[in-house]
Parts: sequence; C-alpha cells; structure tokens
Amino acid sequence: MNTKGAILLCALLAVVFAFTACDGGTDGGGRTVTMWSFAPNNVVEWKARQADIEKKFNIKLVIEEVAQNAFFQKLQANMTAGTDVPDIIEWMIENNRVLDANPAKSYVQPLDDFVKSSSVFPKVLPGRAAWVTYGGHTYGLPHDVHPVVLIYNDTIWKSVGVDVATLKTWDEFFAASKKLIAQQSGGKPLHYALPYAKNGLQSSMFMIWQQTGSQILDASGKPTFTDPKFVEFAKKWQTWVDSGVFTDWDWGQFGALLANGTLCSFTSPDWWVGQVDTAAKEGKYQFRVRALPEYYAGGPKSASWGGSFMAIPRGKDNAAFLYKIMEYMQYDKSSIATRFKDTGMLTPMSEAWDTDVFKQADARFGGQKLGELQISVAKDMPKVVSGNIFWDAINDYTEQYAQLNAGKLTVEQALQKTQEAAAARLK
Amino acid sequence: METNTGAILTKPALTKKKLEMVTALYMAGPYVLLMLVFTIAVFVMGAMMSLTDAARLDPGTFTGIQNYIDVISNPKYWTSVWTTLQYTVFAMLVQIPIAFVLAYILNNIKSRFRAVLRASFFIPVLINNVVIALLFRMLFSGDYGIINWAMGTMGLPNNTEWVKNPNLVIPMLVIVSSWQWMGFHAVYFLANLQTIDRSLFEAAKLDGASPLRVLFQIVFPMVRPAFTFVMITSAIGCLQLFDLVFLLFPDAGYVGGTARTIIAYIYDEAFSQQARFGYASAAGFVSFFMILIVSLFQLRFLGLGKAEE
Repeated sequence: MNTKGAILLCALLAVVFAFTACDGGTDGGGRTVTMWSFAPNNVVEWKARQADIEKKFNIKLVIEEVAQNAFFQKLQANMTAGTDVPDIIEWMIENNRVLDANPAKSYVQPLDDFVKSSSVFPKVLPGRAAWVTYGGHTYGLPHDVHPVVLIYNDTIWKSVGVDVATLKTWDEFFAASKKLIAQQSGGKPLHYALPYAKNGLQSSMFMIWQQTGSQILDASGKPTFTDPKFVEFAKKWQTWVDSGVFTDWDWGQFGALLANGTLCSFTSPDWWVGQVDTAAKEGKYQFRVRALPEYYAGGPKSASWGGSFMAIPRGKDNAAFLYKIMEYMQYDKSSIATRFKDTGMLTPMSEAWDTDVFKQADARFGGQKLGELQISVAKDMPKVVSGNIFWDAINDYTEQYAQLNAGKLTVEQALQKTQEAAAARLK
Repeated sequence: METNTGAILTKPALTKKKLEMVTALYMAGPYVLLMLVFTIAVFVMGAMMSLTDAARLDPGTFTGIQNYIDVISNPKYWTSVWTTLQYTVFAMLVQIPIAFVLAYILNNIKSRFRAVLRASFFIPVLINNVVIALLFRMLFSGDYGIINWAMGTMGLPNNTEWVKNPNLVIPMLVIVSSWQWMGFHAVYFLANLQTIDRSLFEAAKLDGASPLRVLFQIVFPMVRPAFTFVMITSAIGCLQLFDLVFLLFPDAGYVGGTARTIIAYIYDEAFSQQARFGYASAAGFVSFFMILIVSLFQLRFLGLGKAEE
C-alpha cells in the first residue's frame, strides 16, 4: 500500500471510529459497565437478563444493589471523590434528589440529544417522561408507568347499598362512603373507604391530587400552593378527611386489613395491587377493580405513584453507548411482557401494550382484565410539572399539614405557609 | 578488643521516662492517627466547608460567615433548637430521678431477683432504635394501636393520633427515651450506691437520722459523681437526638416541624433536594458550640473536677 492509500485508509478508519463514538455503537469491546439499583424487584429482572445484555453489547455488566436509604449519600460521596462512580444508576422517581433543571448542578447527564434521535423514546408516555424532565431537559428513562386504579371490596360496598362501579366522581365516592362507615363498634367504624396516613400530600392525597389539574410548581419551577385550583382541592380534601372515611395507611398490615374487611377500597399503582392477594385467595369477599373516579367531570381517571428511572451520572464518557444499554434494558419488547407477567409492572412504552399478556383475565377481580384497565388509564395519565424544589415543596406541605390536621392552622394558612417555605428554597 | 559493655550496663540506651514515652506513643499511636484522620481532619474540613456555599456536587466558593448568619437568622433552625431543648429538659427531668429511685430500690431490696430486675431494666438499652421505634409506633398507632384500644375498653377517648399530633411529640419522645435509657442510668447510680460504705448508714441509724436525712446528707453527696456523669451524658445524648425522631415520626414534615431536632434539621439541609452542605456544616458548628457551652456549664455547675478530687 502506498502512502496515499495508507492515509486514505487511516482517514476512513477515523471516520468509522468517529461515527461509532457518536452513535455509541453496540459493541463495548468487553468493557465493564457498572449499574447501581435501589430496587430489589428490578434487580431480579436485570440479573435474569444479564447474560443477554452482556452478549448484545459485548460488556461485562456489574449490577450492584444499593440500599435506598444509602443510595444518594453513596452517590454523592463517590462522585465528589471521583472514584467508583457507576456508569448507570437506577433511582426512584419520587423523592428524587439527583436531577436539577440546570445540567451543571444535576448529578446525572441530560439525555436530550439521545432521546431526540431515538426511535424508541417517542413511544414512552409523555406523562411519565415528565417526571424526569426538569427545566426542559430529559434526564432519565422511566422504567414503569405505575398507573393507579381503584380496587374495592364489592361485597361490603354492596352490603351497604353502594355499587362502586357506578360512582363517577370522587364527590360521589366520598358521599357514598358515609354509608360504609355507619356500621360501628366501640365508637369506631367497622369499615373504612380509603387508607390515608394524614401526612400531607402523600399516598391517597398525592394520587388524587394529580387528577385535579392543579400543579404545585409552575413551568418556571416556582411554587403554586396558593393557586385557587390547589386551594380548592386542599379544602375539599380536608372535608373528606374530617368525614372520618379514612383509616391509617398501614404498610405492615395493609393486606390483613383488606382481608378482614376493615379497609374496603384503595387507590393502587401496579406495584401495590398484590396487597389484595391474600384477601382474594381467602374468597370471603369479591374484589373488583376500576379506573379512579374523576375529580371533575371529564377529568383524568388515573394518576401515578412511585417508580424508577435509569440515568447516566455526570462525567461519564461514552454516554451514547450507555444510553443504548439503558434503552435496551428498559424497553426491549420481549422483556417487557415478562416484566408484566412476573411483577405486574407496566412499561411506559405504549407500543408494547398490544401483546396478549396484558389482556389476561384476573381471577382476583372476578375475571376483570387488570392489564387492559391499567393500559387504558395509563393513556390518560395526568402530566405533573416537576422541578428542583418539587419534592422539598411536598415535604413543606406535609409539615404544615400536621398543624392543619391538629386544628392549629386553617387550610389557607397552611397553604400560605407552605408557599412561603417553598418559595424560600428558591432564594 | 576494647568494648563499652560496662557503659551499656550502667547507662541504658533509653531512660525509663523515655521508654515510657515510646511505649505510650506506640500504644496510643494508632488511635491518635485514626483520630487525626477521622475526627480532626473531618472537623477541619467541615469547618472549611461551613465557610463556602457548597451544595450538591459543587464544592462552592468562599462566602465567609454568611452561612452562620443565615443559620442564626433562620427561624426554622431555632424551632429545632427549641424542640431539642424542650426534649432535653423534660427527658432529663423524667429519666434521671426515676433512674435514681430505681437504683435506690434495687440497692436496698434483699431479693434474689435483684440481678434479674437489674438486667431487665438494662435490656431496653440493648434494643436497636429501629425496633424500639417500630414497637412504639405499633403501640401508639391511631387506628390500630394497643394504647387506643385499651383506652377504648376503659371508656376513654380512643382516637388520639399519638404520633401525628404536634402537641404530643415531646411527651412521646420523653416516654420512649425514658423507657429506653432509665435502666442504663439506674445501673450507674446503683454502681455508685454500692460503693458507699455501709458503716455510714449504720452510724446515721445509731444517731437517729431519719431515712430522708440519710438520703439527703449521705446518699446524695456520695452519688454526686454518678449524677454528674449521667446528667452530662444524657444532656449530650438528648441534644444529639436524631434516629428516634427519624424513625418514630417518619413523615417528612416531622409532625408540623415540632419533632425536628437540631441534628434532624442539619440532616435535612444536607440531604434535601438542594443538598446545601455548606449551610448544613455551619448549622452543625453552631450546634456544636451550643452543646459545648451546655456541657461546660454542667461541668462547672455540677463540679465534676471537685468530685474527682
């Protein structure tokens, strides 16, 4: 080969190299990719698919399960020290402290360029992607949708003359709930309509709030707790709480309370549906499932609670390649069906919802098709505006809510104080 | 060949004093080294960080004493200080006298169960705080707790939200921490009580001293070292309370902020969404100096040095 030929060959190789470096390619050349996950149930799936992922990308995948309560601190420490920083993290969407509207302050890299050129990401539900979009930047790939449905004890509800399936709005539901709590023993109701730990914008309140159309942050990230829509909801919520239809959200005894008929309905994301298993197996009561009642006529019939996403820590090179691995792990069509079958968790990639696995009759609910219902409500998922102070602002409301619940503050006062506390965080 | 064996025999390479020093250094060296790395260095780094606006992954820039000004002008910080002080005072007022009474009874009963009783009072100290918090949350749960159930059976109000009512936060903390620590303090008092010479009691009895006079004029002066120790250690422990509030009141709002102690406040600032490490470090140092002042005041007031003399 003459000199000219050698130069041409080198140039060609350089172009090929540059191209593969830009699009990430799919060959990791045997490199090690480390992933941290906080979710034990997700890790089961990743480990089951580990060999396939390693083979597809020619990598050695190291999956580390990091305890939820140590995850953020460990990431902070390792990133500050610049050692042992994972290539990929799988972290929770809620109480998420790693994202920031300003990419320079975020713990993870914006994936904007990759999602724009992706053929898969556009099929991810926008309502779900919104949870990991701060300041217009998409930082992660959501693992799930966690659409919320209403599961109820049809036997007990009907015994007090209420057919929950016919209730259109939450107002109707809570009005009907008064019949449910009328049966009492020792001064306490025998049955309760919903669980709620009276701890502010959490659990049931968090889910139903999403249906109201109100936001707690505006598009610029400023708190909006005194927005008339949110004020109206907070007042209405307190009226419902004061009516006595709620019982504690008792994580440890949840299934037992369903089984003994104390708890007669609950708003449930897909990962919490299994709480009904024991009660359904005992067969004493017939359980049914439906979309959430609307907050206002024609409003959304669902919400979302919980979830996880994958992201790439800041400073990691070869992000394009890592993005491809993440996209495959999250949205590989054949694995999505298995995920639903094994864990009951619905993928946010709508294209995958047409497989039969989502159309199976569920014996726990008298043959109703839970998967179909979850898919139908997932399409209706309300979009929540997240931002830098989102989770802290929720905690600010939780703090004021205790004073409100103790009668020390009115709803307006609690919201005003929350607004001030949240706004102070922006300074 | 000439040797200096005689010189070696008469004048050792190291004098006794030097040998002691080398041995001491050898023995204490590893600990001193660890302390330098993990305590002093961390302390200095924390102090440096408190003078910056470090947040999240940003090491921050030098901001002087701005963080300190922000901390002492933040009402939320002072609410946490007030919560901590209330808890410290009430916990000590409850724990220490009861612990002393327990120890006094244990010291005076002539029962073969004394060792069993002593051990049973001490057991709560050995239980992990997570278990204790879960146990008390189950006991005091609003809808399903045994306490409310028992109150209901006695015709009393049975819907008290024990762990969600801002008015009940301090009583709850005092109840739980007293249950946990009383036995521990009692063991200290008991150990001190057992060192009192029995002949003093016999002499007082011969002189016709009343039990109350014996208590005030013999027992109390003799157990002052134990009182000093228990008061200082429990004050420091109370002022540093964190895990129990975190576990007993797990909701993010700390029951309307009334359960947020100083350390919980620092934790929140450091590990909230904004992760303000500089500010949290400054709050830590302000609190450190407050605890230091309280401890020095206690030492001076209770006269630990005098007792040791």
